[in-house]
This record gives sequence, structure tokens and C-alpha cells, in this order.
Amino acid sequence: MNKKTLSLGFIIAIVFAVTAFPTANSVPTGIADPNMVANGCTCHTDGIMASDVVINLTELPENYNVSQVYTFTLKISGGPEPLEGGNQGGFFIAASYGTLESVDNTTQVPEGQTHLTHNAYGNGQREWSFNWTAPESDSKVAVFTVYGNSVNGNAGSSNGAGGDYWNKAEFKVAGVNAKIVAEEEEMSMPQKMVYAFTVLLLTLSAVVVGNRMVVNDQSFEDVMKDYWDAAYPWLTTTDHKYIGTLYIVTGFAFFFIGGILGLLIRLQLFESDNDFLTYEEYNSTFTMHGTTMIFLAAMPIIFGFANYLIPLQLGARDLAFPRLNALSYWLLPTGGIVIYMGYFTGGAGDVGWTGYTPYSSGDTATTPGTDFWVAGQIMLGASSTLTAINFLTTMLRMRAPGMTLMRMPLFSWSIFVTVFLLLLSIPVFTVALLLLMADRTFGTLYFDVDAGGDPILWQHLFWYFGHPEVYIVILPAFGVLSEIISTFSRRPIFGYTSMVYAMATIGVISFIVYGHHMFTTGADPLFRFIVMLTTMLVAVPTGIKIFNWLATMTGGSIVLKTPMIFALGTVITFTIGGITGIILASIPVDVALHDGYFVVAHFHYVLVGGTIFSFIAGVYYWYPKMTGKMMNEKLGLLHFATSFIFFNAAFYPMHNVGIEGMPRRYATYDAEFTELNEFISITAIIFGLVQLIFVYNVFYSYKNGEDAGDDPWDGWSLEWATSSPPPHNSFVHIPTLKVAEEEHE
Amino acid sequence: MSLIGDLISFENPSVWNDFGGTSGGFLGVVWQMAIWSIIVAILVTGWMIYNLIYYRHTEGDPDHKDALKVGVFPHERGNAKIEIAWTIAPLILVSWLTFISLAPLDYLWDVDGQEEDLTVEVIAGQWYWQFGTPICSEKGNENSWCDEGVYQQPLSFDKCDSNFDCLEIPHGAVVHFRLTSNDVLHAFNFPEIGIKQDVVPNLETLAWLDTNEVEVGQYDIWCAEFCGAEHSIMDADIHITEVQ
Amino acid sequence: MSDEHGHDDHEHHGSIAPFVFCIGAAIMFIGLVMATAGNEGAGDSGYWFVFFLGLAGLMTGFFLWVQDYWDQDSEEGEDIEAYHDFWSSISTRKFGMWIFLLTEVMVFSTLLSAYLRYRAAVPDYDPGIDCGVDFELCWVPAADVIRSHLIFGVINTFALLLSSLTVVLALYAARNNNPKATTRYLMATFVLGALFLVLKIWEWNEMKNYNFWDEEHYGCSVTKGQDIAHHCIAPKYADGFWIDTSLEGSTFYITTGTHGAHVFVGLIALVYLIAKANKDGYNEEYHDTIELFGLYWHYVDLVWVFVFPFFYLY
Ligand code: HEA
Ligand code: HEA
Ligand code: CUA
Ligand SMILES: [Cu+2]
Repeated sequence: MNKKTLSLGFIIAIVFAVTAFPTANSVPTGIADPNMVANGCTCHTDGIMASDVVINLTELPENYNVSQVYTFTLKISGGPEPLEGGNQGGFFIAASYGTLESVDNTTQVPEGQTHLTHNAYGNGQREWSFNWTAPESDSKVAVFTVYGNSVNGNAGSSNGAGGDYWNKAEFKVAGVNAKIVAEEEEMSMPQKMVYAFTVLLLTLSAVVVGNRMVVNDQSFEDVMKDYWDAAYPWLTTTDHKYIGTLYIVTGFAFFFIGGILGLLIRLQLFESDNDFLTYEEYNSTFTMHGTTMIFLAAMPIIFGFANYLIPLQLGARDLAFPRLNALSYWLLPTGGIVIYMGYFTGGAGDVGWTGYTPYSSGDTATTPGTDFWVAGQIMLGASSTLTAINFLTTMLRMRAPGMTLMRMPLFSWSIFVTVFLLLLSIPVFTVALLLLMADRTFGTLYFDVDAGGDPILWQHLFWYFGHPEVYIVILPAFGVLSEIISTFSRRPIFGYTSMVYAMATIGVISFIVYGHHMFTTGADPLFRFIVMLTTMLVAVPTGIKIFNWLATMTGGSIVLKTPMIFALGTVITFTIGGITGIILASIPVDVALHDGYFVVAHFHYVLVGGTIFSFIAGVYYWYPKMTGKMMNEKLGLLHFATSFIFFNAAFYPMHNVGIEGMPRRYATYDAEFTELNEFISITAIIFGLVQLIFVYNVFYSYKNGEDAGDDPWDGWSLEWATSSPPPHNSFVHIPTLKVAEEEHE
Repeated sequence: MSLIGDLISFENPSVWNDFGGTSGGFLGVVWQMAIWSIIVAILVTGWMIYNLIYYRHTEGDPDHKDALKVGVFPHERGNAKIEIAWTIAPLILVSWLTFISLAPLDYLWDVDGQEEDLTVEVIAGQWYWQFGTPICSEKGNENSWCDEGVYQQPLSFDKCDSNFDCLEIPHGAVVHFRLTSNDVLHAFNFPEIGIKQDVVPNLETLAWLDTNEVEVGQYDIWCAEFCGAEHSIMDADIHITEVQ
Repeated sequence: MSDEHGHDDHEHHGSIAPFVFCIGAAIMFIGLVMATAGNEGAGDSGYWFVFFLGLAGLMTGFFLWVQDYWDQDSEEGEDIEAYHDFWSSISTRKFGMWIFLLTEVMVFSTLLSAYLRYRAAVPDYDPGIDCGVDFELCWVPAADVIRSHLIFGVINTFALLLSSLTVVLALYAARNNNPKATTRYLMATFVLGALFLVLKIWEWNEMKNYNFWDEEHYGCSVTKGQDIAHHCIAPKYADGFWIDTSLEGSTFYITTGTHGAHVFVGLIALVYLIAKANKDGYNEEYHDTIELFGLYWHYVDLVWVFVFPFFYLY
């Protein structure tokens, strides 16, 4: 049998599983939009759904008796303070069984309808009474769907519904004979999701396993044993090359997930007032996009390359603590799962990747999505901390003979500086997250403004970590660029020493610039001034690096292969992103541009055009070492050309949108920005699609690539001294690094 | 066509020319930033293109004398003079950029020193703007809308029906906004003039606006700090009206 | 593969322990979140089952890990050769421990700086200033609630300092090939650490449940205010002093709690050390682990030396 049947089985299984999915959010009465039917509410269409509007339906019986008449009282509280004498509220109630009946002149059952609502007389109050006659069968569960509107009384103005708040509630009363049935029906959303996923997974595995059994004529045990044998080495490995591969693959997998979330953002922003996503969904989407990209994509890809290459570059057999390394790795996918659990429980975290309190510590943030976000981040924080300890130990103690600190390849140096930043910053963030978790879960008050907590404290803790974090993701990229540019210019890097000092300087300065994210918070002017100064200073060491790269090329003998072309493209896009960073560092300019699309443009230029691009270049560069096969040049060039063009086409216009004033984290925007946003969305989607070329190339070359040999690019560092792929213990004999000066004599 | 127009012209003249009412003109901070950015970008790109044109490897080129060899730490290259030069040059440039950013800071920070005509209390909440009654300062007496220190909304001011999400203020006045929040962080953003100030619970922050800088008319206030579900539609109308 | 080349000095031992540990951790967190915060803040107590399931998984992973050391004397990173003089003076594992302690320094700096920030921002109680009816506008430090039991803190400080000494003595005994003494000193350390925790929990319990504003009993009144001798601390602690009482409570319990957790982790490590000492005995060559533990233990001690004055005396 063949792949075709297998994939068919897959698709059928998925379709089945999807239809088996319980659907969320359906209103039992079938009324999706309360404003349509509830004529009491039609004038409040742009009122706001708010959880602080509390709806109470009292005097509900425990169980109803057949055809008995009950009097209920509906009460709403919370929401805006009503104006004197103005309207105060309205409601709408529908019962799935039985009949509703008005008992006074404040409520009505509109002609030809079955629901009950207030009328003009009932507008001035927030409490109504009415009757309900139970149905003729007592084995049913009556569901009451209630919409309550808390009105501020400015009706009639141009924006009469502005500031009006409404909420929705559901109440259930079971008939005397329905009690047991009703309780059995009770299954919470998360439980449903867990069951649904179990069903889905079981179906899928049944199809796959069954297929194998039929095709290969194997017994069930044999099939399972095959799978287990294939998976087991990966689950138990402590070899840095395996773990590195796992990291890289996981990182890119999450990059694609995060990229698809990014495209969902762009679909929503395709036009203003789009209802592709609800506002809450949009907020979850960009939160998960940012979190995924930074913590589950960029950092793992970096750690992956570091894992794979650092021991090779330094001439060590493995990291200092291989098992700890495995622990660091496994905390990553598991932490990722915890973060993503929010999606299965009614909405992922929606606090932004920065998680500002008091929004994130309050109860308007999604629950439990935000709690999952926090919990998962804690796991990732632990992972990075352990990795940092491991690498620093390895790099200081396990270098091969001859490999003094000032002879380490620049990629190693960049990781060295990076792990220092990690050591000093990640624990702070992790502790801040623990405090946030304690606040949300155990009732501590660290970020509780009502108890006198400091609303800005989180920002200090977060950015103390957050700014070094962005250099954590860019410094290794610098390392990659240094390696590639030097190798493909076929000559040593210009100014090795100044490169090292530049990175160290960036590392040191990065801890004292974080205030540039807080120019508008009302922080101390002196603090803001100092961070403006230090932020500007970062341009100097970064500039040194850029100029050194260019000087390396000058007088060299430049070979334009895919890795080099990607690296050079990165230098351009990163420079643009860096320059916009400098623009943002100027306080008066930042005040105008802060939290707008100019900032979004800035950080995508440095993150995508800096980090992601250089690590893609890194894949092209080191793929031969890792697999022993060359990647396809033609596909590589095509991938570069399309990526570079559509990256710029998608993200450059964001500068313009930002200058024109569009704020970020907006699920909808003023119609004046439509045209540019459309353009951005289309090009961004194309940018996403052309990444498929890369994916294809990776798989295609694995099968069809030419043999690489040990040192296909003529690089100098020690990873090229071992075979491709490297042997089990990385080196047959620990090499000794020689030095060019001594070689010649 | 207009897409291309959008890309090359920036339709926010107030930010561009009159940014915050301060750095007007061609030598304002924003202009300088733009010009220096372009210069640096051209320099980097230009140098790279130059390299790509003149230093390409062609088949059969002899190996460089300090070409890389595997397992051998290469010759160190460098040139102290040049390296110092490209350390100093950006240093001077960023110092200059920092320096020119200082002047507008007086404008941004000197809120208390600036004498106001009118003070407006602003309370932000999820998801509304509530404007308290404007109060005139002592100094306000000279103005027709301020009578003996008490604000008297001119009769012609009838654009707002409530103090939620709507505010009408006179043209030609220095208006102070005292901002505070009921729940989470918000930000008071007047995009036309580049004003942005976080609104923080438990803290009073200040923003100010010289309505002389703005033409009479209707503007938007947006919320620029993420605050939850309706963050993107948390807007308010602000009417700037001429007083006779 | 390495056998082919006849050069096998570092065979990789695979281990399933990290995988099991992490799956356990994930399930544990999922259970915790669902049980406490899921379902509109109420949480679904049925999920505590998931939490404990995860915890069990995590423990399994942990034991699998420890078992390796226990059985094979395999000391990760032990046999690594250093080729550079400067870095070879201390072992790889000790190196790792030092760096780990650096991250730990960051952990406690964060907690202490958050505390100090609040401490500086909120005025201390003083009869001269308006503190609000419940004293909610003033900082009534945990120290004032503890003061009557300051003796606990003092004993604890003493216990920890002493235990730092006993660890050193244990190491010393091991170096002198005296396994019996080593075991005994380790046990003494354990007892002192346990004493610390017991007193700590006792103290917390008292602070949590003690009625610090008991008008009938002590005749306290608002005007009397901070009358420590009579347990009249502040009306805001009328129902005891706990993490959700006030910022004072949150900072106090979280900081001392984190420290306590470190002591607890130390005790677990000690259990292993004692058992191992009992089984194989530590000796002249083989005492590295005690030394590493000692580093950690001294650090925990050092943190207490900061926490104690900040929270108990200041
Ligand atoms: C890889 C990540 C990365 C990197 C490397 C950088 C690099 C820099 N960033 Fe960026 N930044 C982010 C990621 C990054 N940033 C993210 C994610 C955010 C948003 C966070 C959020 O709110 O969600 C952000 C936000 C951000 C802000 C806050 C904006 C706001 O919210 O209002 C500021 C303000 O100062 C800033 C500045 C800078 C500066 C000055 C640099 C410098 O390091 C750049 C230095 C580089 C150059 C200058 C180019 C090369 C130099 C030369 C060619 C020399 C000559 C040049 C000159 C003299 C100008 N960044
Ligand atoms: C490394 C980091 C990284 C990367 C790579 C990206 C990549 C992208 N980002 Fe993102 N972004 C952030 C980090 C990153 N981003 C951060 C930190 C934020 C802030 C979040 C916050 O505010 O809290 C943010 C916010 C952010 C916003 C602002 C949201 C808002 O404020 O309202 C937008 C809007 O356009 C956006 C878009 C995109 C797009 C289109 C991509 C594209 O480059 C993605 C392209 C890649 C792919 C698409 C993957 C490839 C996919 C396939 C091969 C499959 C093909 C499938 C289909 C086409 C269906 N991002
Ligand atoms: Cu209010 Cu955003
Ligand atoms: Cu920053």
C-alpha cells in the first residue's frame, strides 16, 4: 500500500475528529445577537460587553414542578453610574421551556415573541419582576438566557450608547425529574476539550497504526515497538547534537505556528472593522504570536545552534552537563504546551507578550488562558536559566588546547555574551512571573493597585529583563553573520578584537537602557533622560560591528552563495531596524511614536530582518555540517529573493502607518489606514507563503543534496575539522587549535 | 497611485512639521532624524554594493595570502586608526541626536511650569474616557470663557451630550489634562499632535495641549496602551471650538 | 561508533529522566491552573487530581535522575579535562554551582528590591501622620507583628549559621577519611535545617491566625495604635497577618517563603547525602558532592543574613 491511502486515512480521521468537536459558545435559544431581538437594546448596539455588569435572577426554585407559576426578580448591578433621572438599564430574557409573562407595566412580551423585555416605563430601573410558568413536563432543564444592559443615561446624544455596558448570563432550572440527567449533562468546556483531543489523537493513531499493521503485515506489538525504538533515542538523548537538532526543529515548528498567528493578525487587519476575529481573539492572537516568536521560536533556534555548534567550535565532546541540557530542552516543548493550553480552555492569554500589570494581574484578562501563559513562561524561564549555566561552564572550562578565550570563533563569543545576559536577566523575569502567578492564584498583592501596589513595578522588572532579552536574540545573530561574512569573503574577520569588545559593550549597556520602553509612563524625567543617552550609545558598538563586516568584505574575495547572500540581506534590514531604534530612542519622537506601528516596524526589522534572517542564513551555512548534504542553491536564491522583497514590502509600510498615528494592538482601526494595511496584509501573506520554499528545500536536499564533505565552505573554525555529520562523540581526537602566525614559521 | 503616495509622503503634517508644537521646521528633531537615518542607511548599503562590485571572487582566483585554513586561528586583521574613526563618528552623531532631542523635552516635561488656562480631569476606565468639568486657573480671568477662575462653558458649546467619551474645549487656550485610571493602564493619545501619556491607576499623570497649535475642529483621542478587549475602540471625540 | 576508533572515553548515557520530569511539570502546572483559576476564576477542584498526577510524574523523573547517581557513582561533568590552567583549578561541577548561585543571587535581589521599593514608597507608621482608620496608608512592617516572637527569628538565625558550620565539619571529616563523623555532621545539618523550617512554619501559623487587633482581649484601640507589647499591631491585621492581608504580608511571606523553599530543597539534598554517606561513605577522594552542597547551603544561609534584618529588624 502507499502514501496516498495513508494520507486519505489521515484526512478522513481529521474530518471525523473535527465534526466530533463540541462547539463552543452556542446560545441555546439560537439568538446570536441579542440586539436583534431585544428591541429594548437596539439603541445600544455599540454598548460594551463587560464582566463588571452583574446579572442576578433570584427566587429561582431548586427544581420546578409541572405547570407551576414562579415569580422571578431580575437585577443588574455594576457598570457605569447612571446620570440623574436618565435611563438606567434594560434587559432581555428568553426561556428554553415554559412561558414568560409580564406582571406589571415595566415589562412586556413583544407581539409574536416569546421573550420578555423591559418597556419604556421599565427603562428607569435596574430591577424587574415577572412570572414564569413551568412547562408541562418535569424532565426538562429550562435554560434562561438573560442580557442585561447597564446604561449611563446619555441616550439621544450622538453616541448614546457610549459608556453603556451589557452582559449576558445563563441560568438553569431543572424539573423535579430532570435533576440527575441535568447533572450528567454538566461537562465543563475544558473537559469537553480534553475529551475531544483524546478522541482526535486516538482516532489518528488508530488510523496510522492500523495502516502500518495492514501494509507491513505486522502485529500491533511490532508496530508499537518500531515506533518506540524510533522515538526512544530522541526522548532519552543527552548528546548535544541530538538535542541541538531537537531545539532547532522545535524552534522552527513554533516559528511556523507563530507565523500563522502573525498571518491571522494580518487577515484581521486587512480592513478596518473586520470581524474575522473577535477582539478577545485578536488580543490572544498577538499575545501568542509575540510570545511564541520570542520565547518558543527565536530563543530555541538560537539555543539549538549553540547546542550543536559550541562544543564543536570549542573542540569539546559535549556540554558540561549533558543531562541538564536534556532537561532544558524538554522544558521547552512542555512549557510551550502549557502556554498553548489556553486555546483549549476558552481563550489563550491576552496580555501582550509584555504582560503589563494591572491588566494581567486583574480579572479582565482571559482566565485561565493568562494563567497558562504565566505558568508556561515560568517553565521556559527555568529552561533558559539552566541552559545559561550549562553553556557558561562549558565555554569557560572545556575549550580544546590552544583555544584561548580570545581565539574563540565569533559565534562562540556571541553565545558567551548572550549567556551572561541570560544569567543576569532571566531569573528576574521568572521571579516576576512567580509573583504574578502568586497574585493571580494565591491572592498576594504585589501588583494590586487597590492595595497600594505599584502599577509600574512590573514594567521595571519586565524591561530589566526585556531589553537584555532583545539583545539575547540579536547577539547570536551577529555571531552567525560574523562567521558567514568572514568565510565567504575568504579572509579573517576585520577587527576580531574590537568585535569581541563591541559585543561585550552591548551586553553591559543593555542593562541600563531598558527605560526607553517607559518614556510615557510618567517615570522620573532624569531616569528617562539617562536611558535616552545610554540607548543612543548602543549605536556605537553596533556600528563597529556593521563597519567591521563591511571592511572584511573590502579587499576580500567574495563568494556569493546562499548563506552569504542571506547574511548580506540581513545586514541591510538589520541596519534599517537599528536606525529606527535610534529614532525611537529620542524621547520627544518616541512620545509620538510609542505603542504605534512604527515600533512594530522597528522590532520586526530587527527580529525578522535580524535574528530570523541570520539564522536562516545559519541553516544554509551549517546544514551541510549537520546532514552531510548541500542545500539546493537555486531554491535558496529564490527563497532569498522573494523573502527579501516581500519582507520589506510587508514591514516597511508599517513605518508609515505608525507615523500617521495608528496604535498597535488594535483589532480594528480608523478607515484612513485601510489602504496601507491591505497592502501590508497581502505582502505579509506572500512573505509567509514563500517560506514554504525553504521548508521544501530542507527536505528536498536531505534526500537529493550533493555530498558536502568536511569543509564545504572553507571555514576555519573547529566544527569544520570534524566529519559531516560529526561522529558520535563529536571528535575522534580532541583537536588542538593552531594559530596562523605560528603556522607560517 | 495613492498607495505609492502614502508610502512616500507622510500624511501627518503635525507630527512632521509641528511635532508637539515644538520642533517645527526643517531642522526639527524629526527632520534631523530622517536625514541622518537616510545618510547612514545609504552609507552602509553603498559600501556593501561597492564591495560586491569590486571584490567578487571569480573562478581561478589565487588564494589570498591570509586565506582561512581549517583548524587554524586566522591572522588578526585590523587598523586602529580606522576603527577609532568609526567609533568616534557615530559617537558624535548620536551625541548630536541626543542633544537636539533635549530642546523639545522642556516642552514635554515643563508641564508644571507652563501656566494653564484650563484644567480638565480625565478618568480612564475599561473602556471609556470620562472628562470632569474643566476648571479655569487664576490666570484664566483674561479669557472670555473663564470668569473669575470658574469655568463657564460658553453657550455655543453644545457638541457633547455627556461627559463620557466627549469633550469640548476652547481654541486658543493652554489646557492641562490631569489623568488617572479607574482600573488598568491606558494611554491618552492625541495622534494629530503626537501627545501620548500613560494613564495609570493610583497615580496622576499630566498631559497638556496648547490648542493654538491645532485648528478648530473635531479630533479623536485614542487609547494607546493595551487595556483589554475593547482597547481598539476606546476613543473619545475632542472638539476644539472657537470662542467669540 | 566510537568503538570503531578505539577511542571511547566519554560514552553517552541516555536518560529518560528529563523527559519524564518535564512532562510531569507540564501536567502539574496544567492541573494547578485549572484547579485554581480555570472556569471564571472559580477553578474546578476536580483538577487537583491532575495536579497531583503531574507532581507524581515530576517526582518519578526526579527519582530516575537521582537513581543514576545513586547506583553508578556517575557524577555528571566530573571527568572532564580542562586544558587551560586558569580554569582547571576547580571542578566542572563546582564551576556550575557557582554560576547557578549567581542566578540565585538575581532571584533574591529581585525579591528584596521589590520589597525595598515598596518600603521606600509607603510611609512607615508614625503617630504624627495620618495612616487612615485601618492604618491602610502606612507600612506596618511584618517586624512589628513578629516582634513578640523575635526569639524564633533569632533561634533560626543561629540554627542556620550553625548548620553552615556543621556542613564544613562534614566536609572536613570526609577529607580526613572519617565517614562516620561525616554522616553524623550531615545529620546535624539536617536537624538544624529542619528546626529552622519547623519554627518558621510555627511562626507563620501564629502570624496568620493570631488576632492582632483584639479589642476585648487586649483593650486595644485605634488611638493606642501600635502597642507591640499588647499585640495591638494595626487594625488592618485584625484578622491575622497573611499573604493577602496587605503588601507587608505579600512581601514578607513571598520572600521568606522563597527562602524557606530553598531550605527545603537543601533538606532533600541532605537526605540523599546522608543516605549516600551511609551506603558508600565519603572519603578523601570522593567528597565533591558535600562541597557542592555546602556552597549551596552557605548561600541559603547568606540570604537569610539579608532577609532577617530586612524583615525582622527593619
Ligand atoms: C532583536 C531585537 C531588537 C534589537 C536588536 C533592538 C535594537 C534597538 N532598539 Fe528595539 N525593540 C525591540 C527589539 C529590538 N530592538 C522590540 C521587540 C521592541 C518592542 C517591545 C514591545 O514593546 O513589545 C523594541 C522597542 C524599542 C524601543 C521602544 C519603543 C516604544 O515602545 O516606544 C526603543 C526606544 O528607544 C528601541 C530602541 C532600540 C535601539 C536604539 C536599538 C539598537 O540596539 C540598535 C543599534 C543599531 C544601529 C543603530 C544600526 C547599526 C549602526 C550603524 C550603522 C552605526 C551608525 C548609526 C548611527 C550613528 C545611528 N527599541
Ligand atoms: C521573532 C519574532 C517575530 C517574528 C518572526 C514575527 C513575524 C511576523 N509578525 Fe510579529 N510580532 C512579534 C515578533 C515577531 N513577529 C512581537 C514580539 C510582537 C508584539 C506582540 C505584542 O504586541 O505583544 C509582534 C506583533 C506583530 C504585529 C502587531 C500586532 C498588534 O500590535 O496589533 C503584527 C501585525 O502585523 C505582526 C505581524 C507579523 C507577521 C506578518 C510576521 C511574518 O513575518 C510571519 C511570517 C512567517 C510565517 C507565516 C511562517 C511560515 C508559514 C508557512 C511556511 C506556512 C504557510 C501558511 C500559510 C500562508 C497559511 N506581528
Ligand atoms: Cu484603554 Cu487601551
Ligand atoms: Cu529595548
